Amino acid sequence: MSVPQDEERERFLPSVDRLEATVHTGRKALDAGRYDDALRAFNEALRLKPEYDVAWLLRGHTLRRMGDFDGALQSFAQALRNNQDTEEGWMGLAGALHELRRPKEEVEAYDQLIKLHPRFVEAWINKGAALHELKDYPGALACYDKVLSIRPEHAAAWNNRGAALLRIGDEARAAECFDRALHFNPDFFDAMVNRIFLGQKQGRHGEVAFWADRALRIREAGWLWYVKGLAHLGLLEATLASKAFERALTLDPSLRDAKAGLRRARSLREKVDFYRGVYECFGMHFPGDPGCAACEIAAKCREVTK
Amino acid sequence: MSLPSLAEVEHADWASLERMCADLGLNPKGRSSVVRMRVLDHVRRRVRSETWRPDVAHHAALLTRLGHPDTAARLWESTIHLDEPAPWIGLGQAHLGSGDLREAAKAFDRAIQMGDAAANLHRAESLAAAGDYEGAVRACDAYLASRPRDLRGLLLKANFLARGGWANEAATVVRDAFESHPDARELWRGLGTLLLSAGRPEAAAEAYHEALRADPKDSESWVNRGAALLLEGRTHEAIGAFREVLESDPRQAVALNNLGVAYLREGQMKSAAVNLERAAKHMETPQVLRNVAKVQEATHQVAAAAESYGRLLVLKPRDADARAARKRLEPPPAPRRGRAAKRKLAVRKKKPTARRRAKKPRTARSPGRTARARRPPVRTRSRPQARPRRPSKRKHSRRHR
Repeated sequence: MSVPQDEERERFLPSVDRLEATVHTGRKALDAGRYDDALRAFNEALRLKPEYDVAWLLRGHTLRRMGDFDGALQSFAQALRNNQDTEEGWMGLAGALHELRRPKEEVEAYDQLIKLHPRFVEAWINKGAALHELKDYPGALACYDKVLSIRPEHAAAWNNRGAALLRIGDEARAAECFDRALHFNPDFFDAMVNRIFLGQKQGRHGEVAFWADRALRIREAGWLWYVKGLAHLGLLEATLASKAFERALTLDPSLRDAKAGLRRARSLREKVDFYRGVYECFGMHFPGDPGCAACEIAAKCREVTK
Repeated sequence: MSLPSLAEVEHADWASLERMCADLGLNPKGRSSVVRMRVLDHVRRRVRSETWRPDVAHHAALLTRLGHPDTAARLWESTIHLDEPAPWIGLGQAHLGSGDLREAAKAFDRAIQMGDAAANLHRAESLAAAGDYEGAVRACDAYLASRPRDLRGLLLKANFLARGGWANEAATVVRDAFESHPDARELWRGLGTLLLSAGRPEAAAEAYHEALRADPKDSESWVNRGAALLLEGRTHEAIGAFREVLESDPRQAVALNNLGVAYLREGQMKSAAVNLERAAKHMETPQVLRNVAKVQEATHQVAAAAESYGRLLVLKPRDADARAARKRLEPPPAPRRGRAAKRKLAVRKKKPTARRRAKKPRTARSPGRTARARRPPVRTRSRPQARPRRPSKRKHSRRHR
């Protein structure tokens, strides 16, 4: 028998210290955003120990961050071949499948994970989101209900449940879900945006303007300003509509609809330009509400509220 | 007031919500769920201690102050929200900075409609900038309607009244302010200035006397008290006041000028000339130079007076008084050598008119003209009054986090 070469010896008799040091270097590079260095380190670790599942997982994360989703998928799959009981492996695999727009396989990955850990909330909520993409709204709702049975204060689950209900056409329950989501997380941008969509669907300009205003405090977007502008147009507030469309165009000059909206707002200003003054809830009149009863512009508000 | 808990706010009835809004300085108007949300937001922001970082509103405010009002206006527009008057005030200030007074007034109006009373003061400022002092006073009144004892509002109103020419009314407002805030000793000086411009030197002198009791080293009050006393005819006391200033600061040009005028009134020409010349050395303004020239003319220093008028004309070339005086003081031109000139001269000698003869003794008129040197003494400017507050720049960023 011949004496093994150095390389071969390293491969079959890895030094544990060297392996751990290499993985540690890779982790540090990954945290610092030096993905090339990280990938080099994990490849080195896998050369030393090809069946090392942790190195495969980290390689998968690195490739995912580098935008190589196919490579990431292969790495996570390899990690799972070596160790099927790892949550991180299934979550990584499902994440890569999500990026590759393969929702059916993504759902299967979450199912596998749920078999391993039936109370794993993230798996349930992601499975619900994947089913939502597949337009399986009842299935998605079942997932969200499961999450809410485990964690009733999960704002994202309430928001997603509302979104699914909105797709089904149950607007009243959807509104309730968005309200719950915003109750548990008042700065939840997605829930605000869903509230805006619901308001638009119902033609409630007051609510749209109100929630768009709040959402814009968290994150600015041209389309959101456009939606706000439309709501102000519906409320006959020409100046506020103009300002909103102008801002939308500043952020996104390609928004043609905003240009048209701006023209409409300017022509509206020649006829009418209502100003709400101190009332940010203008257009949200609610009979019997004590605040609405004391409102100075209640008559006008009632007129524009649907 | 201590902050209510989130649970308290969530379960509060309408009356409690209104009370909370009043205690926390929040807008209590609107649908109850919206008002509740407003209070909850406020409580959440206060409970969470956040590190400060400049946001768009801060940038906009800085740009306005740095002299880039157009960029600032664009930034303010991006921060406008439905329930915040502060960005409207900022936008108004930016428009004011760029000279667009109409848009500024509109922006301030918006803030006023949103319930920010202080916006009235900003509106007053924009109206005053447009020369509409009456409107500015009305805007101050609108602000004072809810805060009748507010010192800032009262002083601004007095300022606009004075600038509009209603000095007596302005003085009354300052007196009212003083009644509400007897500790604000610095008000006496403002009152003195207003009374002086209203032509009430006696009352002005008393006001400055009070100001000096609060701050005996206030040289502006000493100078203005001296001016008031001089206008009142109490020349000796006025001289004392000016000397008081010059003891601590011998180079105080205004005091030197006023002291010179006071001596002139006393008929002490030499002292007057010395002080006025020293004043001109430190502060060469047309008014001081005119006083110097008049005294020099009165003391028959013709060449020096002509030179002083010349210096005055450098500063103010179209000053008719100075031009006439210099022409008068210039030596007569040398007779022409040509034949025609000689002939003309001969004719003049043959037919002297009574008018021309009367013009000859120029010095005869000079004493009468020295009276012009007794111009009203120079008054130092009063310190600027309180300004309206700057727009606050807080709400937007805090809600971002």
